[in-house]
Amino acid sequence: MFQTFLTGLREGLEAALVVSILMTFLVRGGHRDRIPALWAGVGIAVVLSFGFGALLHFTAMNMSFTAQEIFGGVLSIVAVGFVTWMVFWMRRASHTLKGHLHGKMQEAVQLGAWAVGLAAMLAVGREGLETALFIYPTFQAQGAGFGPALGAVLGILTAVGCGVLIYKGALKMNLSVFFKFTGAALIVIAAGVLAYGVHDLQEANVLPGLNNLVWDIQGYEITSWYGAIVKGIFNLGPQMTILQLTAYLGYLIPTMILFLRPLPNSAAKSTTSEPTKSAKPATASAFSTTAPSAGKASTT
Amino acid sequence: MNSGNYCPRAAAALVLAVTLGTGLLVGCSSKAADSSVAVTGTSDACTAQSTSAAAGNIEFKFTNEATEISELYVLKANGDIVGEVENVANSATRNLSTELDAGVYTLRCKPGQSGEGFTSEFTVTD
Repeated sequence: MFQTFLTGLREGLEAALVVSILMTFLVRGGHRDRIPALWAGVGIAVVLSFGFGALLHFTAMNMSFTAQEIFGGVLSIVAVGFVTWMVFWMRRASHTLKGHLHGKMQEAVQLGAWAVGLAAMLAVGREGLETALFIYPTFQAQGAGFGPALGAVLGILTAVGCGVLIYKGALKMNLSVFFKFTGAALIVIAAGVLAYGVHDLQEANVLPGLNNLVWDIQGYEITSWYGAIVKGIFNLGPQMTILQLTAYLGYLIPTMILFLRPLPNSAAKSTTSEPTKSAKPATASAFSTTAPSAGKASTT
Repeated sequence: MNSGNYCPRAAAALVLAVTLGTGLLVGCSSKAADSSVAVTGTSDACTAQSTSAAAGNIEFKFTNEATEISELYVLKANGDIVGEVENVANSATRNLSTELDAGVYTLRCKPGQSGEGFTSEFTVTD
């Protein structure tokens, strides 16, 4: 039961983290009206994954191995592209928002509902099918009773619980730290997803080098508790191919540098109108929710 | 990113959905298996109920009897992966269906989903 618990946890962690980060961003960024779109995306992904998984598991329908791997690989790479776009959008949005005047957001950069829904759908759907195909057999495990199935469900619920904790914690963060932290976290997660996608395509023989390992760590079991967490969040497994590592670092390093570089014009235009309290002059001021009576935050 | 930009982006999303959907349909089939082989993975072995089958659509019913989560690979002689199932829990059974031509294949069970696992040979006859 513990084994299936860890697997459920590993499968659910990444999606739970991405969804909770998105949720926190919607709430703190004043995009609460997009929350239904987020949950619609999650719901669609769950229904599609478990529905398609049921077809594959319970009927004679089957999906060729190559098709499965190409599907997984392509979806992962699409998810990385999309998350990267969102992260940089969030970065610009936190910088250019023209402040809250009596809560009005009409000048705020709008985040389309479709983008939110699609991000949530990709985050959950990416490993949704694999999770469904893992769970169904645990309900049919002969001789093992309810243990495996219960463990699997608890694992997934625990992953969701972790997401909730991250959400609550992120709500309390200092705002500019929040944007940097969640953006950086998404980039790290996306790097892992990219490596995962590359591996799928290597298994499908679309990309070469499946057996050219850069590391093969004996004793690192993804079926252990630490393995579940590391693999679940970072997608770093006991074996890594050269192409995977190249993709991982090739994405992570430049993207993180670009993301963390100081925003243009950020320090220069501090408050030109009457000074607010000793607020930070740069990025945080744009999104400040603590200034109902203060003058306009700096504009760009 | 105003509402005026919805159309091209919605179109792009739709194209993606259609492409993925088509890919799924093309990659799937409902062919019944020509033969079925039970494979049992334990903590130190990977045993098939029969070591050969006729060429065609073969369904490997993989039951994991090791305590750790396991996976099964069907490999060609040159190491190419023809099929795999992962995340198979203890006492669970997952089916792996694949078209196999005549030749010698390797069944590899990996309890713990890492390392070399255990292998057994499988022959597909004409």
